Amino acid sequence: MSSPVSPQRRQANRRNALWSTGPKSDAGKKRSAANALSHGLSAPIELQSTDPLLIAISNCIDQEVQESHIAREIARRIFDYERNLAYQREIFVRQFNLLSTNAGKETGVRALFGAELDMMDDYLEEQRIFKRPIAKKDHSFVSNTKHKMLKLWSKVDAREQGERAKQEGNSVRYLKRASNQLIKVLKALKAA
Amino acid sequence: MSDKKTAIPSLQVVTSPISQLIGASPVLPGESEEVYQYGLVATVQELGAITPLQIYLAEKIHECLWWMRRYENQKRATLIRNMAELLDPQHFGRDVSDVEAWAMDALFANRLDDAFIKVLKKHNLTVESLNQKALESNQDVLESLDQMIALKAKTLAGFQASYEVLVNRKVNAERMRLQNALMQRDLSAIENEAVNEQSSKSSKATGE
Repeated sequence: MSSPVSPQRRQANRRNALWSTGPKSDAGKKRSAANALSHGLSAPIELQSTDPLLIAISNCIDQEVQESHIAREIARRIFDYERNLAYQREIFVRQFNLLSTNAGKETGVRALFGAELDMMDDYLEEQRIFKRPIAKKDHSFVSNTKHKMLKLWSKVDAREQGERAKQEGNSVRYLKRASNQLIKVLKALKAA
Repeated sequence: MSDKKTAIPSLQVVTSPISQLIGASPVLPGESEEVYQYGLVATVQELGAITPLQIYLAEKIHECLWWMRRYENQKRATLIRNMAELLDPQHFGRDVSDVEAWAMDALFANRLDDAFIKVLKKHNLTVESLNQKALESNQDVLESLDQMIALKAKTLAGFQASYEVLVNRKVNAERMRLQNALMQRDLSAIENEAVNEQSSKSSKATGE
């Protein structure tokens, strides 16, 4: 069976790839290292060989695996998988809480523009207490402002929902990767 | 009167040392810890897990099944919630109205009595059409939940294969040792032949 990519094409790809190898300056490397650090699920685990948790897990499986470096690798993968699974649990509970709480439009708008809404309500209340007539333009101003606030809140809400969905999608991907890596390292024991 | 005590199976909590070290609880709020533990004990016993890694894998296998059940329950709850919302179209907002709460109770208990049918008729619906409408409006959510179930099923298969590897490792190691011994013997036999041939040739040469 012939390879789908010709050797010439592969060489050309390698040559071209040299032009796009990411940031070169130290500052640029530092900046790109912090890309998508909102959850840190894809970040490599900085577990040192002296980390007590890693040592404890390694010790648990050391006798079974018989090779300490393999035991440490399995421990690292277990830790990574558990970290991703814990995040999935968190997401599940968060979704459940969002459904069960009464987070309606009014609550959302108030969370964003609480002070402004209070000011308008105070003004209307004051006019009512002192039995002053409320001008038509004031009425329309209040209703227009509330309408604008609602529109703004809808935008913020949609953006937040989008962010949440994106984060959840990514977390599923990371969980899938972590579980695959754990399974792979365990299956590799066959050959060991 | 003699007291007859019914035999309640004692719950023997099984936790692998690895999970104890990590310390995460697999049960979420609203789920029964007891039911989870019974399932886990049964899985560990069925698989015959003994070593820490084997028990850990048995735990993960059971946890995958638990997650699949959890997603199935969420699918059902999502459908029922939407069906209840369809029965109270006048109500807006994310809070649950009285009608919705009543409908959800009836649907969760699968209690489709006369009162429920009456409400359905009021909205010109049948149980089937209500179900179909709810399925249609929640297609995205149900699809993503199905994807999660598929992912868990795949992970479950992977963990099962890893468990088999782990259990059969000793057998495999023995088999490989025997294969190595066999290969060594064959190789030495070839070597011997070659050596013998060479030695016979050299002896002939010297004899001549």
